[in-house]
Amino acid sequence: MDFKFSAEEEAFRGEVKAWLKTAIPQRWRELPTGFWQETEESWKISREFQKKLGDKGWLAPAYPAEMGGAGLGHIKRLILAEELTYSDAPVSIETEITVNWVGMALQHFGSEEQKKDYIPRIAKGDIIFCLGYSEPNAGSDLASLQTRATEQGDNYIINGQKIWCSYAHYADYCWLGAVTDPEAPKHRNMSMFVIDMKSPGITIRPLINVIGCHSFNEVFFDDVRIPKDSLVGQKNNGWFQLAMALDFERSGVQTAAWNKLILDHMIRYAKTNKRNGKLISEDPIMRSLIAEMAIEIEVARMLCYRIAWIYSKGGHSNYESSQAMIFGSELLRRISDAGMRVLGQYGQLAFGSPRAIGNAEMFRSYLASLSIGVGGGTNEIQRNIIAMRGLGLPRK
Amino acid sequence: MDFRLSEAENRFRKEVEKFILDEMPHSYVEKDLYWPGGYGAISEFEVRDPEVEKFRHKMGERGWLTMAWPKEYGGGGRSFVEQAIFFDIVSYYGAPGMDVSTLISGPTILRFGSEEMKQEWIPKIVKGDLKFWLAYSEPNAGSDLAAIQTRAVEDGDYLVVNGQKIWSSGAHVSDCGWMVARTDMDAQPYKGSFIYR
Repeated sequence: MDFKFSAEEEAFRGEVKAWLKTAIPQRWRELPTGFWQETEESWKISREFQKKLGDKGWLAPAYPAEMGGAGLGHIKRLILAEELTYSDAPVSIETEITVNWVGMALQHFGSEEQKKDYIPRIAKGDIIFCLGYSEPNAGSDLASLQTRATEQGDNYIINGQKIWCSYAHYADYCWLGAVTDPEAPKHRNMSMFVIDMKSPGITIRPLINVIGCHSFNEVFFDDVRIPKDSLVGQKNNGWFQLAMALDFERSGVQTAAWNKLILDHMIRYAKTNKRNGKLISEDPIMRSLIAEMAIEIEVARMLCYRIAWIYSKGGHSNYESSQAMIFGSELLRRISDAGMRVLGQYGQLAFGSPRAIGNAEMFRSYLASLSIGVGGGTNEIQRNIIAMRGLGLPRK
Repeated sequence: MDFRLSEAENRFRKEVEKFILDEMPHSYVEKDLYWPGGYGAISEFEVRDPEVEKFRHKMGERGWLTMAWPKEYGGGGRSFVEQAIFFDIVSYYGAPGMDVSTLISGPTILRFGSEEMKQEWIPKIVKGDLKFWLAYSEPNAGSDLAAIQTRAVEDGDYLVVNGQKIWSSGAHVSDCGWMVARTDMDAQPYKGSFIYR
């Protein structure tokens, strides 16, 4: 048992930190950043930064070198993700979707041609994926999705509607789940596809989120014709492939690292600001609140470190990822709530307000925290996974 | 980074588990409520049960009660991970094991005690021979523990103690008290000292 990073890993962390000091454009710091709050300008900066990471092999550090990665392994991937998030660098969920969810699944299930085609471009930051999972009537019960992929000659014809598709309006490709055998039972009736978002018949409509930003979309497929080799892996084995991609989705350390960033903002504010004539850091209620959050951040971190360790040993993390997702997302809600209490009424001021604290991180984090713990499978679904896979309880 | 137990540690885990299942007094589970948090069982705070004492002695003979303590004082000289495994299994089965002597007073004597004190107290704790009670809280000193008023005044070769302690689990069945008392009433709080009796 060993809870430390090695000296070499610590040195790598130092290298990443030093690089980030100069690599993040100054203009980025003046924009509202963070998940689901992109603007045209921030998106442009993000994409440029991601290509810069790609050139260093740091966008997909755990991919093998021949695939455009750096072959650094999963512990260094964890370290990079922590430092990128903690420094609030111009990377967000679009890179997670593309590199760590879809890219990882493609490496598992894609054909040699598909891997050669997509993986190096993903690793360089040249392409972005969106997810085609949820539908208006298939969210927590994702297996009841209705979008159809029908074989016709050398093509599949896609018809249906997807929803909550983050960054579909920017994406080059969609990683789509669709029914390929309507006669088969759920879980054995669907397949996974990679779809070019420029294909005729795709309509994208924005869904403005609670922060007031356009990140989510509805995507409609009307007789979208795609080549047969867009199918990934085995036909009708899509549920298994999708479930594995979802495990990757729940495995990140980003929420834990973001929580730490929010806590440090909170501590700095409490140490330097007074309420009722006393430093907030002297208020016993605020002190105990902050201490409680610090404990929970350590727990969240350890859950995520364990997952990175499992992957570093060539294993696969399933219910362990669900544990980390539940704890991290619910902690983000608690910590954002604690932050609002520490900041008092200033905490409620939006980005752009002259009296907002910092970049209104706390306000935005508070709002964004509502959807963490829903996307990627709700925490209720995660609890089901822990019950069934982790504890061996019956399905019903 | 490594979140696993080593093979040797897993073997040790099984060894402790088997020992408890084989050796724990059969009457123990039925007649006792376990006090969670590693302070031992309620019954140990109520009465000196010869069966329980025998069981603890067997653990002591294996060096398990003081697993990570240095060998020169009779400790097990083993790792803190093995100690954690032992605590984990003992607590899971609600077995008697750790107590104030092995968790609190012993480690503190090892850290701050004189060589004479170590020679006097540690071997007895290692064997499971000494039972301590914890003399910290007072009616007016709980969360603000530094406000204790119990005094220990030097008188020749002795210290004379006056005061009141409270929430003293097991004091009526213990051999020694692990006490904090004021030795300098003029000094700032936080300057108390520990004594035994």
